[in-house]
Amino acid sequence: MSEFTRVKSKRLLPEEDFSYKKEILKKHVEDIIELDENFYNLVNNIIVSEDQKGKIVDSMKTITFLRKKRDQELTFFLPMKVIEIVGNYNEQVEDMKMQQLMITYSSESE
Amino acid sequence: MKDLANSLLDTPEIKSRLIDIEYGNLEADKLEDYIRQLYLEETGELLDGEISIYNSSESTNETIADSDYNGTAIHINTGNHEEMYVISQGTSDTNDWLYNLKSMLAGKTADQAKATDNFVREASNHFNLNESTDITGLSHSLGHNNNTIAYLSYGTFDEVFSVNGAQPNYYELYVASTEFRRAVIKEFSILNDNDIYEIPPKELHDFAMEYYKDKGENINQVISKDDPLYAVSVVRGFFTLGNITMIDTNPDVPGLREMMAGVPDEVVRDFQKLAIDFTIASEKGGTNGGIEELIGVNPSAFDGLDGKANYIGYYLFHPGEVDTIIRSLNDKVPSLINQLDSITENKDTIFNSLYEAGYITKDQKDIMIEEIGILDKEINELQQLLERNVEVRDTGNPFASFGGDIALVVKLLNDHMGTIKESLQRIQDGGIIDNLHKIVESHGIPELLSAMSEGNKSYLGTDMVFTATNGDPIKVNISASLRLYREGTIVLEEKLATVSKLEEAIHEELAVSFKEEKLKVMAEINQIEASPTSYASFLEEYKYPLYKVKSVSVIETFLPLRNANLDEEIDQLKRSAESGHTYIETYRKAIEDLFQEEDNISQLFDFSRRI
Repeated sequence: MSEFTRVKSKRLLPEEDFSYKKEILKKHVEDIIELDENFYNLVNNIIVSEDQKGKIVDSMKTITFLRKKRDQELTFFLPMKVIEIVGNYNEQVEDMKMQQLMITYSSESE
Repeated sequence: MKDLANSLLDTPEIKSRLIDIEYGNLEADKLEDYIRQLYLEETGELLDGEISIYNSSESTNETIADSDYNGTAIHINTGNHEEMYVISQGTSDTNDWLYNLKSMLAGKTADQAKATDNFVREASNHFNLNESTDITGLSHSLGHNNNTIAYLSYGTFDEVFSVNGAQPNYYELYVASTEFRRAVIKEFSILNDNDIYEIPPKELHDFAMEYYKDKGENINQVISKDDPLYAVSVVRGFFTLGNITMIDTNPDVPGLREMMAGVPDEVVRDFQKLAIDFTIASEKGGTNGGIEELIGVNPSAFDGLDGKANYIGYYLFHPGEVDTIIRSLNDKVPSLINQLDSITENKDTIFNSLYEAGYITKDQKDIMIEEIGILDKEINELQQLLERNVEVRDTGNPFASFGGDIALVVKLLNDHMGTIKESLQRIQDGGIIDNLHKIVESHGIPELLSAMSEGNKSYLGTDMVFTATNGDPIKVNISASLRLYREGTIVLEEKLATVSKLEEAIHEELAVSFKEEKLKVMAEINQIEASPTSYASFLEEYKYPLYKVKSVSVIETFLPLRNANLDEEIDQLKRSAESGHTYIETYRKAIEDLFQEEDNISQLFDFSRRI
């Protein structure tokens, strides 16, 4: 009887598409964006007419502007981030399904 | 707390704001919050009582739904004092406009006033009110007509308060109130109902004013001098009853009342006749039946016709019907033209008055006078065509008749209809419609509220505005400030909860799911290692014909999941939601600093979170 061993890289499970996970996560992101909009809608129009001047008014306008800008920047990139992390997940799951197999074959004759 | 022995919502401002917000058809809990904030803003105190709301859309009473009446009943119970307010909505859709025509111009129906009474009774039962509970009717526009007619005819309310209301109409009361009808018949010795239209309007007006003078004590109205309904209320039918507060909301223009007063009664009577014909016919045949009464043809006869070829085809298959249509148009259109002539004959006066009053420019006035002249000419020529066509038909020659029809249809479509369309386009391009929008705004409640400024308090839309008393006279929207302080906190809490949901979802969908996928792979490895011969093909045994798979061992490689989280972003989102509370407090402090202590702004903020 003779035998030999080969190491082969094999996909153990079929490929899957996990992109539906993007939609699950994006729904929450959209809700957050909507809540931010609701919040800044509440702030809008508190100071009647944009051209009103004054130390307190200017200070609140600046604080609001900076805060809103920061929130918008954060939520602006979130949908893309969601696509990126689900893509990374999908890639790593597929990588995990590829494993190195050490296969030993033997001849039938004794 | 405020003395609750009297009316809780007792100022014109609070009532007007409530009437306006009711048009928004808010959910009951939202409307309740709004009422509580409104009360706080206007009185500086919390409304200590239970508020319950019942909307006419919840009613199963068919007379309410059939009449297109819309209203909301608000019951306030403080434990030892209760009140009910019923807001009757003004004109809000096409059905309401048709009702206006039938009730206020024709004076032939008062269905919505009857529905108002039914709704108030139903709401009283719904809230288990006792006899002594005060019921106040609140309204704007058509709502005032409904509330007042109901109050005068059926004693529906203890008080009626209205802003820019459509006034009650004595023709309508003649239909709604048996007592008033009897009194009119006796006073003017009329033999049948239609004779009422022959009574000199001035005499009927004065009779109605005298008849209802005692009831007028419980009607309170705020009216803008610029409201077009105020202008219209000088014509036949309307009488203005109650304690009236007049406000000049738009001092740049004189209002339209004087101009309307100059319109001869015959002109109004012509329109009233059209409205009466329409109302009577539409009772039998619906709106299409009403239109048929005016032009001689039911609009449904033209269903499915959309082009010149189609019209010719229609004639070929329905010659008898076309004959009837043309003859009916020929019979009815002349009287319609006669009645519409009232406008064309008075076009110079009407548009000169609008120009002199500053509502439209000189160019717009010239365009309107010229274009109405063109429209008048085109419509009259259409009528002449109809007349000629009928004459051809009367000859009895089928070929002449066919030729006449086709010529008429082509002429209609190509010449006159095209010219009419172009004329209407020139009117639109002239911008007059936009300019006349100013008149429409004067009918709204916001313009009236903005004229109700007092001290440092004023209004923007239905929001309350305070002018700062400390330093620069900065205008601050107090309603918006309180909304931010109360609702902003709720929004931030919701945001924090949603961020947590996102965090959990990422954990479930990626981290936990990755472990599950790993378990699936491991299970497969175990299967292959335990029974390699079952996987002979997968393990490529066929490549080695003299050999069989003996064993397999997987060199397991499992790396941890990387770059599949939003930890940094989640952290920033949470910090943003948390710092939002500090931002709101900073905003509150900034607004408080704009005012002096005695303005009690601080108390408003504190109370707003207890609503």
